[in-house]
Amino acid sequence: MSGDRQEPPASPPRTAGHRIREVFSSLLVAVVVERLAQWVFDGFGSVVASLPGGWFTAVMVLALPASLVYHRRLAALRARAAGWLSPVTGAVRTALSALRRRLPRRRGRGRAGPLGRALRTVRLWVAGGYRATALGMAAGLVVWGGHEGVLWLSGAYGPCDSPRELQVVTAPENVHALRGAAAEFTAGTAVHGCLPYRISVGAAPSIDEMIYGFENGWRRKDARQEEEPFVRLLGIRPDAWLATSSGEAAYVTQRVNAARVAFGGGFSVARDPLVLAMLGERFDDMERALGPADEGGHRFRTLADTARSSLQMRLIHPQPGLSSAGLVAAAELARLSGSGDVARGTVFDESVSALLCRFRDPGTAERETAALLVPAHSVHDYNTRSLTAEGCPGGAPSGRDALKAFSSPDLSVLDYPFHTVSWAGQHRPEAQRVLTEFGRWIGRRGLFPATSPAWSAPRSPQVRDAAALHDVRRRIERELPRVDLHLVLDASGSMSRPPAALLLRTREAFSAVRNTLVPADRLSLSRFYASGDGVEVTEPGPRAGRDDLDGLTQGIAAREPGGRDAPISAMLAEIPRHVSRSGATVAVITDGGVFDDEPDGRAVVRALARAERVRHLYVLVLGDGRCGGGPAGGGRRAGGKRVVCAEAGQDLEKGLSQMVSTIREWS
Amino acid sequence: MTAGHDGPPRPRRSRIAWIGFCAGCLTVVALGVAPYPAPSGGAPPCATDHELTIATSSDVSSGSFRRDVVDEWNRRAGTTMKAKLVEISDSTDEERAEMAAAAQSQDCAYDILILDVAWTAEFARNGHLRPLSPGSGPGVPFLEKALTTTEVDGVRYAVPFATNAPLLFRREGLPAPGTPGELLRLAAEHGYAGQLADYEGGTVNLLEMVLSGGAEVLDGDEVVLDRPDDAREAGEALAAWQAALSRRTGADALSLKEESSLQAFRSRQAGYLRNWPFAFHRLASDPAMRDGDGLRFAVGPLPGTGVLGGSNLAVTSRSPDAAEAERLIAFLTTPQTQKKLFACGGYPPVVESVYDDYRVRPRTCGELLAEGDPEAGRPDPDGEITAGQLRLFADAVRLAVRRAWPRPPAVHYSTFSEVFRSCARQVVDGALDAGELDFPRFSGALREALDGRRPEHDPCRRPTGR
Repeated sequence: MSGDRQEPPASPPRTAGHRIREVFSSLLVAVVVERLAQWVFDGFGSVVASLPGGWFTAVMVLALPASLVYHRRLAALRARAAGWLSPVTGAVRTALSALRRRLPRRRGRGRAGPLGRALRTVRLWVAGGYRATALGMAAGLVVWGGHEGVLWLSGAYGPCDSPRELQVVTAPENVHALRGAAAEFTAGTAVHGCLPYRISVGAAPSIDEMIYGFENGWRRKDARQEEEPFVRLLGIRPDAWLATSSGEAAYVTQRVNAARVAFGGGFSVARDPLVLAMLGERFDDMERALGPADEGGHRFRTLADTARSSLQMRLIHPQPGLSSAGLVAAAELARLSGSGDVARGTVFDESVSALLCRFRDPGTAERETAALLVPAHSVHDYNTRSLTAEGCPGGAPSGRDALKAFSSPDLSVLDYPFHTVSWAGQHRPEAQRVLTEFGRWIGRRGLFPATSPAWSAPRSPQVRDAAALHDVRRRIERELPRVDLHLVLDASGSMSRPPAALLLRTREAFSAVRNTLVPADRLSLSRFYASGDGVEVTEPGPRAGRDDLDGLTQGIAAREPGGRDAPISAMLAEIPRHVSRSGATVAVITDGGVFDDEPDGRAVVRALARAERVRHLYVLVLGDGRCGGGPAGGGRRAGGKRVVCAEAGQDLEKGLSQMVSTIREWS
Repeated sequence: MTAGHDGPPRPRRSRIAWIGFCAGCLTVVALGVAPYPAPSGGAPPCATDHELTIATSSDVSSGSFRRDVVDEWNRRAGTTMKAKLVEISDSTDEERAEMAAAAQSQDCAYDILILDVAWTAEFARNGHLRPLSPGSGPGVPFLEKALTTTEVDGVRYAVPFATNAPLLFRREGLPAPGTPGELLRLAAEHGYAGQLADYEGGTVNLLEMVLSGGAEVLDGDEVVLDRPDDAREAGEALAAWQAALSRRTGADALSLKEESSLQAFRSRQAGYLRNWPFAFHRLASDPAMRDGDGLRFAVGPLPGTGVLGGSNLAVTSRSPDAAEAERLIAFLTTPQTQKKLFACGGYPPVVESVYDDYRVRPRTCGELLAEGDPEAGRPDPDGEITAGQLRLFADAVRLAVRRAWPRPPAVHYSTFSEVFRSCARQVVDGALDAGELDFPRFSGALREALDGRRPEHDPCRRPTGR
């Protein structure tokens, strides 16, 4: 080194152009590295995975040429590593020397001791063995490639094995997107066109049903009679669960015994904000009322206050007891802390999809006055596809029927954690591995279609945690008006006889009602039928609340005397003797045969006006029955009392939930 | 690489190199020959829980009468092992997935499976079913068509439980079509409700359209839809249905399933309804479809060729109680049980003698139930399906089953179904002109599908060249 070392020339002053170039080249490098990493994980990864031996073979074979090409750098690296490790190797050498000094000396010993020679020999064997094995694997790949090529050219691949069945559940509004992702993921794993896995996606039940299901082998909570020879599952038994929010996931997993089900993963695979959606015209009205927005959009409180006070709109969401997104939405309304906010927002729909499907029906009365608090991707689904996958009839809405949505920087962003599920007694490590891979893959690919830039803008996560969700559930239970309901079953033969067996089906659908009740609600049950020239109304059983509903539910399909259809008006004349409290609403559950003798409903209205202690009347017609000319769906008045007839069709759960929800609104 | 004198002798190093080379080569080749991880075998045998568990779909829509016959088994004298139904889901896809997942994980959950006839081959060939012992069953003749679905590669794995074949319902006053051509004409005139949504029911309806048009899809195990005559007839049939449906029922016809098509018929949106036999009980017990003791509709077999449906009873290969399970299966297929399932639940019987009995001495659900339990048999004079109506229904079902075409007993039938539907439905939908449907390409994709391979590219159209 010379002593008169010259100073390096001063670097030229950095201009703005230089800096832009630097930033640009840094960005370019970052993008290239990111793309390369993505390709290694996805494209190259899938090629490697299809090789015999997968990554092991790839690493073995690729390391050989890499070591030959880069042997100089590797040698330098080795020397550097030797330097770093010199304290350790020095200590080992010292220890070995000490050991050698204690051992008896042997004649003919060379410079290196026997241990050193043995190590050197082993090293050479390993090195030579590795090179030969790697070469052999490369040769094997050539043979295998040739074999595959011949098969491909001749089209002589044999039939595929049956794919391994894997099952995932998620909230109904996510099923369509997750099915698409599952199809794409499994297609990517195909070998010679054969799918090694088939991922079925089913709709997850409500939070409470899910907790019960995980605790009980995925069985539905049915209030069955003893000795009844059946159980019902909640659909496919999941190997994985895509929750809506980490709060929901924690709420469930904290309440499930780990000895029955073990949850793995829990990483977020998507992010989607709640938005406030409404019809386009109302959206324009609201924009005018709101004025210019702050950066990132209006605060949720501003949106809610404007919608309510300026546009007289109601902010609604699915039932928090049945829908996780509904529960998070309720938590958002609870945050506004106005008394009654939460209760006012709850509608009877059991899921976001059901709410949107109902909203799409032009006959829905509250379309103009409702703003929906739902995930952004559901609004996109509503506008872009017909929701037929969710069982919604008709085509995609267009024009004025389309929804527009406001996002807000302080509305929750749902984070969709992906959990694997291991059931006690089942050992499916491959399922867990593949599904974890699937979850990670969704995380990289995305689950939902791109929404508007405002929705996808980064924001601080505000997912409500399990404690917040628990609190909001309790708050809803306190705030919801109490239901005092006397159910009167049509006990005619057509209700209990196959093929409809409507009483049996009503009993089974009643599990959905449980999730819509709050602790203060009270229900009682009796039956009515024609007997001789009059009407027989049975003595009601004890009044039941949500937590002791099983007895009442079992009574619905109990083998009790029945007869022919009796007119509702005649029943109403008898019922006050059985209703112990004044102010109860009477709900008649029938297949519609009760209207045969009073088709126009006027007698029913007159009888209701006269019936003491009966506050309102709700007639629920099940199955293929019709209200006919009976009390109209829109409702009538009978001296200040309400009368409504609703047709449930084949969806008894929905019909019963809607009944409870309507009666709650009357309370 | 240096060959220092301290290293191992050259012959030995050369031997090691050769061993390494051969081991590497053979390992890769061996792994390449066996591409799939073998299913985890060697699970310990299942221990009996002294109960027979039957996996099935939800039974709500048919009055849950299967529960009643299982209950009857549990209560009858001589039953040593009670039975329990596990109702999985309303969705047949979920039902199949759950059964297959349980079988693949060597679960001990189920002893008996109630399998759709289209899945029996898949479950049998994958080793999930136990061959039935010779002479199992009630010892009575089954419908021949139903019996063919229970044998796979010459071995009987199942016993028919309920059969299914398409029926044509028509509103009173409308003429009965005698041929597929007449049905097309009347469908265009009065409206037609089938099941053409994107699911297995859609495949069945589309297959019926093609087969009734005179084309053959399969000859044995071979796809023959690309034979010129078959391709022409299939294209014409699909195009004719596209024209007929677009004239009257519009786009909604393509979104109907069993329940929604039944509702379309009830609400007079369609004068003709193609549906499975379950619809008869639903319609016949509906006050809106009755006129006193008479019916406001008529029923008969679907003109042309229908597709055979139904379900089979099979014992799982891991059931520790196989002998008892076979006894339960025999009970479920006795003529007495089959009559009750037919009259009360609407399940078409699989036993020949039940049809014969219904010709001579038809009996209602109430009468049958009253035989065993006088309390249970309380026929409602206002709405029970009469014996005469059940006789007509039984005749229609029997004829429909005789005419029906069984779906291919393939392990990968579901893949075949998806590929077939993906193209045929586009033609009926109007999204693809029948002339543009590339039958050689379509048939090639169907052949691949029967082997379990999904097409990587559009299986319906010729690739567009530059």
